Amino acid sequence: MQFILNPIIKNGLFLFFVFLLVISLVFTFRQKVYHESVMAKASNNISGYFDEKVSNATNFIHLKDDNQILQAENAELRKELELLKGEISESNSDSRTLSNLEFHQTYSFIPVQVINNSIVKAHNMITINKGTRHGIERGMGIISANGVIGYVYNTSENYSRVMSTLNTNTRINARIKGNEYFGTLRWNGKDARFAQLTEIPKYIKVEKGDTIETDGKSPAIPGGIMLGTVYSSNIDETSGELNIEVKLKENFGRLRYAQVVLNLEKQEILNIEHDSIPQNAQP
Amino acid sequence: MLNLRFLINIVIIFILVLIQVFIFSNINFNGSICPYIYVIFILLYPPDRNRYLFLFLCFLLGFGVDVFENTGGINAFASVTIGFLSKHIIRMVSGTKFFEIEEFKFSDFNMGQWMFYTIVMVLIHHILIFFLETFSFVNFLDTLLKALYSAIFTIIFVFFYLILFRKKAER
Repeated sequence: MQFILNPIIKNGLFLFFVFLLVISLVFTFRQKVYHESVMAKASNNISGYFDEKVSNATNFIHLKDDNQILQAENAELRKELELLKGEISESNSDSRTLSNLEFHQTYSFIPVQVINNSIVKAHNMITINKGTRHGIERGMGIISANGVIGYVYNTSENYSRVMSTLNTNTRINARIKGNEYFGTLRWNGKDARFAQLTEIPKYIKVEKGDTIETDGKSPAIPGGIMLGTVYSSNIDETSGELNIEVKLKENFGRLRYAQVVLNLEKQEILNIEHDSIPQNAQP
Repeated sequence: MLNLRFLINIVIIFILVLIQVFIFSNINFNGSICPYIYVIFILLYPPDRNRYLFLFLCFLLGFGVDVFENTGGINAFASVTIGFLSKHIIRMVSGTKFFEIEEFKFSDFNMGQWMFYTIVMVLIHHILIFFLETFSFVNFLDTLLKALYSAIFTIIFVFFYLILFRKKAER
């Protein structure tokens, strides 16, 4: 018995070290399971509380910049409103009845404040100051005036964690404005100013400065939101697709306000997509 | 006595985690620097105390940061690793022969040895964290550079601390 126990006692520290290493590795690789646990919910609430306190203290410094950004956005929106008004009055002059189908609301937006953000890591996360109490659910999209911020990943009562666009796991449906070819926008983890648009066939002509916008094929994010402009493009020799470097319009380093997208018809879309066709269906 | 010391350590860990998460993780300088200054606890923990407790405290410290940053167990992994290696690194740096780490005191270090010790420990810690976080060797050079830049920042911070409070650390 002694010759079994002796090495264990002698190498106790090493065994304890390996034990702790294994625990931390388990936590690392079980992250997907972890975020549904009660502990994750609690930690989200606690860290959210501290984040908000710090954010409240530092917000004051940025008030002037924020005001200017809001002014610019207001002007942009007003311009759009006038354009739309003109269009509607024109269509009225043709004595065309406004159809209910064309002008009903599909999206609603919840304004949120970013209280914690990072751009350094490969899997960047953002914390926002609203949660399930305000109607935010997992999987919702989140946008700002300058593009898509990410998807809601984990919620607690008052706070939510958002998987940032600058996360190597995030995929965003995007298209080239003008020719409507769509691909996937992802981030390679290198530079916070650029993202990569892939899956565009190589016979498409892409030029520097072309606008990239959201596609609107996913129910989480409306179409036509500008994401950025083409910075460079080259043909990937192995896959035969274009590799397009997109300069993002949003500066993630100074992000503070955003909107969570509420799709009012999401349930309807999901229902019809998940409905299986019965075997003995009669026409 | 052990209980009081243990409680003080827990409080220090809590404060370090808060400082790390709310100040140093938000630096984002140039989009590539994220110094993990909480290693200062592991660097300056007196080597003559219980090593099991020390490893456990390293784990707590790393895990505390992980909980706030949603990174699973990456910081805990790196912290425990350098906590375990610190004994060997001290032995390597000091160059003196001793049988047990408990015989060593930080007052035996001169300035050059302090620098070497800090650099080695911080580099191991940061490289581990950044590679576990990316979990691929695709952008090997970029990840390594990020780790190096962050490590330089952390090392400078630790040096400032040492210059100011060296006597206290060597107690």
